[in-house]
Amino acid sequence: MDAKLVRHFTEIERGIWELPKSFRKGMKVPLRVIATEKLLKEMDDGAVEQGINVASLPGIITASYMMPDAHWGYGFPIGGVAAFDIKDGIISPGGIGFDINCGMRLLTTNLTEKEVKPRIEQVVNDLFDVIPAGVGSSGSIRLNKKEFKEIMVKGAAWAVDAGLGWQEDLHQIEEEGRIVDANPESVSDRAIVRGINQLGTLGSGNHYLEVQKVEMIFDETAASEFGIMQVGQIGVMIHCGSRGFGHQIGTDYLNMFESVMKRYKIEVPDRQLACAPISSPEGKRYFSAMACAANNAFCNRQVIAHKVREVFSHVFDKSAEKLEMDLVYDVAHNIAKIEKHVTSNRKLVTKELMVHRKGATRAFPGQPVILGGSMETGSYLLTGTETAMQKTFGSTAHGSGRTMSRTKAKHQVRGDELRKKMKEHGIYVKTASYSGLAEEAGFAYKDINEVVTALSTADISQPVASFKPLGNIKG
Amino acid sequence: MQSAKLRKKFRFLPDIATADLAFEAFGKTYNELFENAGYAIESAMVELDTLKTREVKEINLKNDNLVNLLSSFLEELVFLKDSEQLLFNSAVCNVQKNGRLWVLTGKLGGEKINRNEHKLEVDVKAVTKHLFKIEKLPNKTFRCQVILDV
Repeated sequence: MDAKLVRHFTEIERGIWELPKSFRKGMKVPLRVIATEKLLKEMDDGAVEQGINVASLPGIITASYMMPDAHWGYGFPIGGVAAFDIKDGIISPGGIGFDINCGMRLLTTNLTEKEVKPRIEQVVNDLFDVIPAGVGSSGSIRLNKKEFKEIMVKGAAWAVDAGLGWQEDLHQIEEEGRIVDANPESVSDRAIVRGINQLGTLGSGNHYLEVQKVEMIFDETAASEFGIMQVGQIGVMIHCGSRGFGHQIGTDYLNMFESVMKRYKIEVPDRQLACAPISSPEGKRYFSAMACAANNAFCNRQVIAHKVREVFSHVFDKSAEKLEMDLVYDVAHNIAKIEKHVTSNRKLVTKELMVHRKGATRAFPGQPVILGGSMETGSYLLTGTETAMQKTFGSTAHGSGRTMSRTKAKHQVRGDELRKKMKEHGIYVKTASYSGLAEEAGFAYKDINEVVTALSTADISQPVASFKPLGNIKG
Repeated sequence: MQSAKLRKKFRFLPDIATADLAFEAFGKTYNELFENAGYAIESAMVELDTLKTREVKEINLKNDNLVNLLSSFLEELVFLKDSEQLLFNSAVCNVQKNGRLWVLTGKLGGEKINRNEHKLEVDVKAVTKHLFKIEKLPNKTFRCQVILDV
């Protein structure tokens, strides 16, 4: 961040830095950044500018937040959190992202590194064969329109009912894998056509499926509650979202909102922040379509998890139940949710709010939080806190956060070189695109340990365990 | 259809939008500008030289302004990638103002995605409106700037 801009920030509490609303005309609330001093100074100017823009949106409550992994996106910064009053606030597709309910899922196994490492190439190759990844990939499940609409309403439960999961999985998913406000009537035919063949696919970009080992355990009690029992234990992390279906819903409503803002006398500093009042017909319609995409994403990750269980079961010649391939948690990090929060500590006023989390994770007390790192450096499992409820509307970071553009990263390393280097470091990768792999090199990301330090310092989540990759598939 | 050498009239921008993919494209006319923006988005997804023109798709789009017409053209390319698994390596665009509306008619040539034959790059999720613009440069050529969500 530009040094002149940094000087306007004050550390109002440990690890929480505030840019006052007096900084720029039009800001309705301050901007608050959760960061160590190092991360604050390294934050993109573009991201901070976007955080300031969010602070000017109608009906925003308390502050515009940026998590320590925040970086320059479109509309909201990635790593942005903002809550809006249900009565006079707005809902914005740019505050959710086109990839509605992009999120993380973590499965355990009772296998150890010693057992998996010798067979990692077979595991990864088999996963790559059954989980389609990359540009325009389509899945093996053929659905008719009626079935696809059932997924929009039922979410992960559709897959469990179809035998692609365990009943107990549903209890380990945010909202039990189903947002109740979904209405397929709010979804365009284009979105259906675009997404109907993509169930069970990973996508590309930073989406991945990773076989990991537990590297360190920080909180043994929480770890054991989450099924993390020992260092060296193998887990599987899945990062993906609602695929073309969600992307099209985002596109459809962004276009619609841009044309209706005038009617609601809303002006925004960035076209990507196009929005509508939550209580307007358009706002309600978008929310119910967004819920369809969110449910589709929960179902997508459920189907992928089923494939993972099948592959492990085949390779290790034991049932997934015997391998204790339980779901630790599945959490969204691109979503808007209606939640009740205390908005004034002095008067203990509770309000119903539309909490936008774009590249940010819900972090309710005791809830598992999955922080997906770069595929070279590893990931974290954390737990939500009471402080997060008080300070960030129960929200925390979602990953390590990029520091370098994809175009720059590609110029610094070739995908095949990176794959070779990763193999030397004990990480076996299968990718649908070598250039896509190069874009995801570890050096393009912030230090995830510093991100966790920032979260822990501000006490909006606390680390439970860290993970190191052994194998990875990516699109 | 445009010749291969015209395809170079775009470039990806390294210093905009850390998480996404920004490009600029140029054209002496709106037709060329649209075609080159089309090549930019396709080449974000696939190495164009690995594609062959086996299918031709007609496009017909309308919008009340030129910026949104370009946006909807690029959105159409993203839509066709997922809905029909089609990627394109040739395009001819005809952009005209018809009364109050801007109209694009054209043809796209390409083929269905084949993982064994095509060198695939990154999946484009959407065309964002962040910093999206069309401008006329002093040398009278047109330039657009687009950020893709990938």
